[in-house]
Amino acid sequence: MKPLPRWFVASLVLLAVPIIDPAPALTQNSGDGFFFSRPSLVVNVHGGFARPQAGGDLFSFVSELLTVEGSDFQGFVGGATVAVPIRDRIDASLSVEYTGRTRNSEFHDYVEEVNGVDRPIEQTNRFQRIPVTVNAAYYLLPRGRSIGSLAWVPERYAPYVGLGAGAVRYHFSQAGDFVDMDDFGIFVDRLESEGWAPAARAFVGFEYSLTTRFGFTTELDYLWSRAELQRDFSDFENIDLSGFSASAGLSLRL
Amino acid sequence: MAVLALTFAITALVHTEAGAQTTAGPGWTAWLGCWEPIPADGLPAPDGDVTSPVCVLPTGDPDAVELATIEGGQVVERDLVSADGVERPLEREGCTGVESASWSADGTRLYQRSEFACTSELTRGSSGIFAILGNGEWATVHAVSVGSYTDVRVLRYRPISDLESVSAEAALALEGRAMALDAARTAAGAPPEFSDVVEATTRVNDAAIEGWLIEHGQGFPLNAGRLVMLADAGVSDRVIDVIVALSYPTVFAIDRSAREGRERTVDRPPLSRPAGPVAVLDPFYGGYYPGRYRGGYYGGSYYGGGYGGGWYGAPVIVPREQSQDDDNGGRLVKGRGYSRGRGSDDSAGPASRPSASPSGSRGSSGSASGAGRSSGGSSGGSTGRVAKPRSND
Repeated sequence: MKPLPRWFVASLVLLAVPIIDPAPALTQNSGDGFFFSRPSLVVNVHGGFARPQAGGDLFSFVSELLTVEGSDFQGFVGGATVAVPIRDRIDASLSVEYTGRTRNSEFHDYVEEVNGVDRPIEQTNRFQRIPVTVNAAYYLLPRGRSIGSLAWVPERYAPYVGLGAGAVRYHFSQAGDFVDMDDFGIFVDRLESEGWAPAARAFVGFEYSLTTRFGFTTELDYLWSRAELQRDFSDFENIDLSGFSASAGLSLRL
Repeated sequence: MAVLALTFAITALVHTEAGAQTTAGPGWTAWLGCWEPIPADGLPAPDGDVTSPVCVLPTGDPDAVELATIEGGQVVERDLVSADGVERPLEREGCTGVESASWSADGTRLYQRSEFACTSELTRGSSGIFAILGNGEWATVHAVSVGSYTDVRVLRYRPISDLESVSAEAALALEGRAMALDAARTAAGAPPEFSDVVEATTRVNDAAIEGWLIEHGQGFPLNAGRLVMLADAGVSDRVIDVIVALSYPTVFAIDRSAREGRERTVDRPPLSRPAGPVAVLDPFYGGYYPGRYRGGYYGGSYYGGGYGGGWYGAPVIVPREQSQDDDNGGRLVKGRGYSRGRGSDDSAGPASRPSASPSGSRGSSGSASGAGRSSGGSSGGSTGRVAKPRSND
């Protein structure tokens, strides 16, 4: 995958600043089990499992030729979110995630004879996605209770639903030995397609307050996105970048 | 004294015999003695004569005491104050109404209420608290409401230890009771508790409660549960704000003129200054400084390695940078399969094999003739090798 564009790195910096410089928020802004005002920032880091949908004709055609399925690319997802409450029950947030998997494969129907022994013709397949989205989350129950104007008490449980939109940086590559279907010659190559595509997501989650500042979150996500393939993959529909993910994480209220 | 006369319940003028020993109820014990008025901080002195000492003397009624105003060592005015909770009708200076006074559940505070109609449209309500503070002073806090406007008036009194210098009558009435009075004042001056605040909410105006708590100046052992309890018990937001402010004096300062808590103002570096109309928080931030993010990039982790003729051992993985040279023009065509494109190379040389094989070493394999370049993971395009259909044995 090529180096990330500067604006993307800037987004990561924006997410990292509240963690690196929490000084404004970690001054005494809380009492015993409550804040002096509603938290102005929530930072969440999470990890879990992602299952790409891997629909579309690219994955289905590849799975006809090679011993790799779209479902083989399911695996770990990790990410971070910075959220700002904009209403009593509504947060606006910026989130960045990463999910990727590398899978080895061989041709279903072709082998190479080496010294009288049949050897598989092998490749490495890599599928990576980095969604960057701006989201709105609606809390089904109040996250906290304002008591007077100088106290905000977090609630123990806070379920939420949300929607988001943004873009996905994707990378799909195949590298290794391939069989040219014209003459069955084996050639070595690297085929790849990468780029950005618009994305939308929907999610539902649950936040449990561990302490005044820290909460435990679980979330179920669906990401929708399709991207145009580059020249190494001809005549295919857009690659399907959609998929589900389930994650758990830790929130820090600042 | 004129202010006291407006706020105390007067049932009758009672003249006690000089030298007679009478017993006051347990609630009044903390107040027995003589007191000199002192101005409350940050507030203008109320109208009327506030420099004359006042002596609180026992009567034959345990619920009542006599307030004697002293001038020049002489009692110039006497008023009876009864804390029996009975509502008594009154007519005063063009207004008619009722007044009552009663003790708190623990007998350490006196709650007073009155309501007067001065015209057909003008109603004057008043509720107040008499309390002994932690430093032994006596504070009287009254919230006077006329229409929608509420004014809070505070009077503070310091005890006079030398009663003989103020009033011989008072000294005689309270002779031999110094220790009892001191003990009663100490008990009455204990910091208020949450239950006291909840009780006061049902007895007097919120403004009077705020003033009482501010005059006491004591914080509370606050936590989230107690805050919720106060709110659920009906304690007003303003009173809760005062409680929070008193409990966190390093974060909040009491604006005594407005009688509310505000965050303290402190000069701080722009980066750590929170937004909003209220001043920044107290200087308790730690030594945090902006960090630096060193952005990385996705370097290509790649297969590589090669083998000589005859056999090869464990493949060597050589990560290398991505480059356009890796692309030999091959592609995957829908419906057709893989096809090598430009960049094919039929030159001889050992073929490379992907090191991503899960088995790692494969053992021997024959060299392929006419293979492309090898090593370093460079893809060599055509290798001269040929695939054959997999047998289904």
